Amino acid sequence: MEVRRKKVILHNRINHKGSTMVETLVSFVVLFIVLAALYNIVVFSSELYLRSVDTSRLQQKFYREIYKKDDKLDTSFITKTRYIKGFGGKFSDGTNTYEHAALTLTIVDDGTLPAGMEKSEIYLNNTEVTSYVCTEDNNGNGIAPKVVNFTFEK
Amino acid sequence: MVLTIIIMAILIVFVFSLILVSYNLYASQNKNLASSRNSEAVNTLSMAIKGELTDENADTNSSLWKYLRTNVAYTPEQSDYTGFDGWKDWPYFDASGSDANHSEEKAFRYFTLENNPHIEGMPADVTVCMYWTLPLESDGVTEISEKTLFDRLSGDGNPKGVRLHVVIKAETGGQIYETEDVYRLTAKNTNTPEDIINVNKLFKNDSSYDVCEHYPNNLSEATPTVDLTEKWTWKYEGRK
Repeated sequence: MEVRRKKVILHNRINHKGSTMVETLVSFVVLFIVLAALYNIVVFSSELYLRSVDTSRLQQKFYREIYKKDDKLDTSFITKTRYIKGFGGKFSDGTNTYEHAALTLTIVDDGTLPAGMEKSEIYLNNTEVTSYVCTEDNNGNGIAPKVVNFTFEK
Repeated sequence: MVLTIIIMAILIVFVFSLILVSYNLYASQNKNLASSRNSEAVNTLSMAIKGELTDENADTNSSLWKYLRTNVAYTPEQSDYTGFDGWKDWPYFDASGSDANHSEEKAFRYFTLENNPHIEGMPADVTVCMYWTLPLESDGVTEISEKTLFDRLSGDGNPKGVRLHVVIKAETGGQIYETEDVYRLTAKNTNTPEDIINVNKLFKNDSSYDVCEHYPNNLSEATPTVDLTEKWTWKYEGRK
């Protein structure tokens, strides 16, 4: 009977011990860190979502624009560079500036070619390239679209 | 305690699901961009090559046309049937796979598109694969062999039906876009040899473009052994 009474007293003492101030503070710090991490992840996800929406919007705007004629092209967010066939770097016709570009089809030596054929390259004599680069980058949050167009020019 | 762990686990799963969905959306948008870039380049290059091959003046101002003229159905023994043993250099492609000499490995020629200088917006890797096939039975050629095709190519002057396949592939950011165009050869006999030897001023702005290599014959040096009395034209048949 005496032993049982002592056990009850001991049990009550333990239950009423509670937490120290340090333990409470540490618990709050851990909770705060976890909540901050979760919050940052949510914010980051939200930014990713917004970036993808912006990229999509910019892509649509970009592809709408590049098919327009030169005088209607919105150059505020697109840089258009026309490459004329041939060598010689940049040149100007007085109004526009162009660059030269040489396009070649160079044979890939995959080991099955006859001897002496490794260096064969074919110039695309009548093919020119126009490059369109979007200069708007959604305040650094998106990937700017860019594309090339090949055209046959006699 | 257990309740706390369960709540935390649910929260973490929710948050990580959120980040996964957002990342997938973002990644798919970037793939979409790369894919559009590839398709634009491939489709326009396809049109440009079509122009190079089918233009009425292609025989005088297109290196690609000249390359095919001196390579497709080319045979070193063209003037002498004795000892004819087929197109060693660029064999036709036989899709049946019954002949190892006309397999994909032997018959496909791969080229990379190179440009000087670097052009902004160009896909990371553009390759062009070309191969040619024998006429189909629907073309009226009943006996299809290298020898009979050779006879017919230099014979009655009707369209022969040799097909050229041009496969253009662009790759950027892990995305691939590919097209395959088919051209049909028409070869007509003329008494006047085609003047494809003179390769003059292929580029209007620079004479250094005059030189182009046409294996097996560099046209600027030697008389090619192909039959230049045949007038070749390529007709675009469409996409495969």
